Amino acid sequence: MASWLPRRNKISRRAMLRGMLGGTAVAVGLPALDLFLNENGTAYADCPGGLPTVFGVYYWGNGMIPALWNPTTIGPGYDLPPMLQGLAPVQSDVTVISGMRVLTTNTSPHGSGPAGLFSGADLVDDSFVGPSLDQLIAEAMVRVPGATERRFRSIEFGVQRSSSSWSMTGPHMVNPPECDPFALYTRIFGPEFRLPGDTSMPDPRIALRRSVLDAVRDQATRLSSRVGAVDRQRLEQHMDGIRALETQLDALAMAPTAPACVARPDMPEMDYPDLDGRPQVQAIHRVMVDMLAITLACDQTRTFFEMLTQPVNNTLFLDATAGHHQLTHDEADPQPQVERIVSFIVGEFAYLVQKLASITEGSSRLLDRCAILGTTDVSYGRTHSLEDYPMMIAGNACGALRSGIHYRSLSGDNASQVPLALIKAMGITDIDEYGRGAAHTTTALGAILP
Amino acid sequence: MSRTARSLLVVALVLASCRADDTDVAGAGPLDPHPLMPAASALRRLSHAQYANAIHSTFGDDITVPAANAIEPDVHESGYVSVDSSSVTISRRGVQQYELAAYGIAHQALDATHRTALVPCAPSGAVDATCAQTALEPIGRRLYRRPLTSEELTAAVTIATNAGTALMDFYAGLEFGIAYFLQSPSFLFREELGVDDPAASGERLYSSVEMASRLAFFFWNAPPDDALLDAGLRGDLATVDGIRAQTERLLADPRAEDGVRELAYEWLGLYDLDDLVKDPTVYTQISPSVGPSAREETLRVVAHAFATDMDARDLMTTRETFVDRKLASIYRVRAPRTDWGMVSFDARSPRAGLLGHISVLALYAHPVATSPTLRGKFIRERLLCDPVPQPPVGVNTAIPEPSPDALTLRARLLAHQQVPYCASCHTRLDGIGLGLEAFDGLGRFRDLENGVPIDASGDLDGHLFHDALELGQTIHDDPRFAECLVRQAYRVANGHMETDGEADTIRALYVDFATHGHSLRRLMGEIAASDGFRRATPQSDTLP
Repeated sequence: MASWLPRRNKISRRAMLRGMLGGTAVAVGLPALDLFLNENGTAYADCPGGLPTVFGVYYWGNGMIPALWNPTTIGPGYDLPPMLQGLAPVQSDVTVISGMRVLTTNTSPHGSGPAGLFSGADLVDDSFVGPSLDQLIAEAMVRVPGATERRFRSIEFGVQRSSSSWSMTGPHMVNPPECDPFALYTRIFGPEFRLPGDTSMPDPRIALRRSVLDAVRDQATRLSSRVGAVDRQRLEQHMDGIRALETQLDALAMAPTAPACVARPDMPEMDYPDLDGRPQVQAIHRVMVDMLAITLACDQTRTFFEMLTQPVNNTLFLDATAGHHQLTHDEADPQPQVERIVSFIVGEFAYLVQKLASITEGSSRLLDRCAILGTTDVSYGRTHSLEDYPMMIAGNACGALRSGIHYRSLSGDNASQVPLALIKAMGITDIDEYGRGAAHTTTALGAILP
Repeated sequence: MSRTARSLLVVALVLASCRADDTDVAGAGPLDPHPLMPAASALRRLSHAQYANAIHSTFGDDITVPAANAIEPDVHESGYVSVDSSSVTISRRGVQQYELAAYGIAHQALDATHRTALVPCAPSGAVDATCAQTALEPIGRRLYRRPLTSEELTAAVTIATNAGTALMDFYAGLEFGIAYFLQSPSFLFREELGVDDPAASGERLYSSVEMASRLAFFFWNAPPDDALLDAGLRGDLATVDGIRAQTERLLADPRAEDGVRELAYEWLGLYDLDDLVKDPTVYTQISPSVGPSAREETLRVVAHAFATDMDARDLMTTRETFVDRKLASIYRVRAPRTDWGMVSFDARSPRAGLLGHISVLALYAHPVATSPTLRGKFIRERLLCDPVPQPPVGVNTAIPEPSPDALTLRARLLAHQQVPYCASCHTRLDGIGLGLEAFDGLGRFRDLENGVPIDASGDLDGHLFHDALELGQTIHDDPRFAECLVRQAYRVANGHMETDGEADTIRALYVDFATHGHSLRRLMGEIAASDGFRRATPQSDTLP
């Protein structure tokens, strides 16, 4: 595993604040705009039925092949090159962006791309300098006065077994993905989960657990007074986690009211062992997505990050004769095996889109209030290029994004315009720029905004 | 501390020591010309193994502990779990996982079979604060590795009695008191902060109680037992003599094997063997058990070297190893009668030492092929402490397909060597890694690749070798190998990458190691008694 891939949770709050939004000031606690609040004080854009917007990331490792990926026509009804064939059933819900460049210094193969796109800055000490895009958005969505935390600030999951992720709360503060479907089910839909209409008395143990957490936090405060500045920050991170769990316990007392929250998902298998030495990527991804859809329908979280596979992964996909990463470098052109693998990965993105589209909430679909960024760590895997960076966006965030178009930048524009457009689409009004240095921008990509 | 800040500190202190030397020359008094400059202390988060050992030693060996992926994951970004333990935090998911684990463990610890051992009093009812306190005080002491303050004890007892009241059950209440300890940062992190050294003003020393923890986690990968903690509380571990008195006992204890195994695990970076990816159509013997078995083999071999006080350099050349049935079939040696057995490769075998282990050969390879580059990098970085820079970006990395002119990987990799830009690194890596080409991507021996005899000759920094056996011997004879082992043991013991201010300490440890038969046992004892292990710099009160 490459050494730069963030695996640990190490923090520097000052660096995090400094790094947030690429070193520019963030206005915190601005008055909420009308479109941003409902009577519960929750934050969202202008969605039917007062439902919230959702932001997600679908990430895979090892890039694509530009010649097999980029559509040649722009606008709606764009053509589907070989690697994008899997989008056919969902094309009207997926916008494809091509031709943009991630403008971080390309010093770390498979690392500089995600650093640029998700944090807007170069890697420093093998870490992002601030929170990743998903965490930035998750935090902004609860920053609004009166906004309440959902049961989970965010959910991170993966298919390839690993504790690494690009979802980071701050420098060196990784949010490890849950890669075990049963564990994810237990975490979200275990016995504590309450469906709408559940009027049973909450388990008395919940209140007791909460008082234990209070005491743990007191202990962290006591310890904090005896340590230096760096350890104090590490303990603050621990305390943040304790507060988040307290929030979860408090949320258990309130049954969700979302209209499409009608039943728990099917319980996954206890185990998904490799078959003939190959991981069950499709089965695991799909059961994870099925759970995710109900998690979102029940408003248990409003942000997710899926690490389908890791950067530099050598997963044996399908019937490939070598691991994915090795193929991207060693397979002779035109790399038919890499084509098959990436096509498969795009097909699984389409499954995610279809799943969210299949859940209806009154007159609209769950997908309609989502914005899901599908992307990877480089464009052309063989050369680790950051030009022509592949990005797909599913959903329109309640009309805040244009769906089903291909936008191509002809001048290699700054890819940071996309994260900023997504931030805007989430109804976040107190962030006006993204990235630092060459990657800095104050322009949200207008082509994907209505 | 950032790298920059650390090096600035080093510069400042080096300047200070120069002035001290001047004073010495002026006759103001003797001073060590190269005073140790210890690294800053840091809270260290328990690894999964340490967490499990703490649970077992407190509540019993039969308590089921959550699997490694069910609590906060061990991290080895720097190459060592021990080093990253000093910088990791606990994520939101981690807090939830530790909570779930805490209640699961507390429930088991107080079930009908375990509660009598843990609760030495008969509760008078659902609420009995005195009995709760009697039970919780020693549990807390074990888990926190120090006596509880009255405030901490009161908090635990209050939790237990409140829960006992709500649930109308003394033991159910007590579970909450134990779960409180198990989620506390004072359990999950090792509080080793240091105290002012009474003997030297301005210097910091780990306290005697803290030393009990440091010694136990280094030697046993587990918390201190009562004898060690008592020695710590008596103040015995504030002196080198007191430490040496305990290290004899710790090294003789069977638990020392856990410490040595942890050392070997981190030294060789055997982390990812649980998720070894190999194509079963190429490697028909692959199964999910191969990776874990291969790791077990290597850990047993190093533990055996420790137990028999072997010259550690002989790990590169020994013909002895341990196999289970699976490994025996891959090595083509007689399967053991028990789960594990020792075997000796005969004198004609092409296999000897760590470089013949499936763990190393399979881990540092691709799913369908060997990788001389990855294997060369392993030898450079893990065995010789010779760091290799990151690969550049923007280059076409394709390797030519096999062709009649280039049937072997060696021949195809010539492409790397012929481009000066690539050759600058690849010669240093591939040139060594090709020495292991007689072992395929799973570690099986082979004579031929695509019908062509394997050429496993090469050159390690001017020392020519013809095959893996000679490569192993070359590394065995290279002083960098022993020095590198000492350096990495020091990193694992201390939980940080060595600073410039520790160079002399490490040098002295290496000289001792080299002049005392390269004994791992002695090395561990010497590290524990070294100033580098006993002394700390306080952590700064401002952020870097």
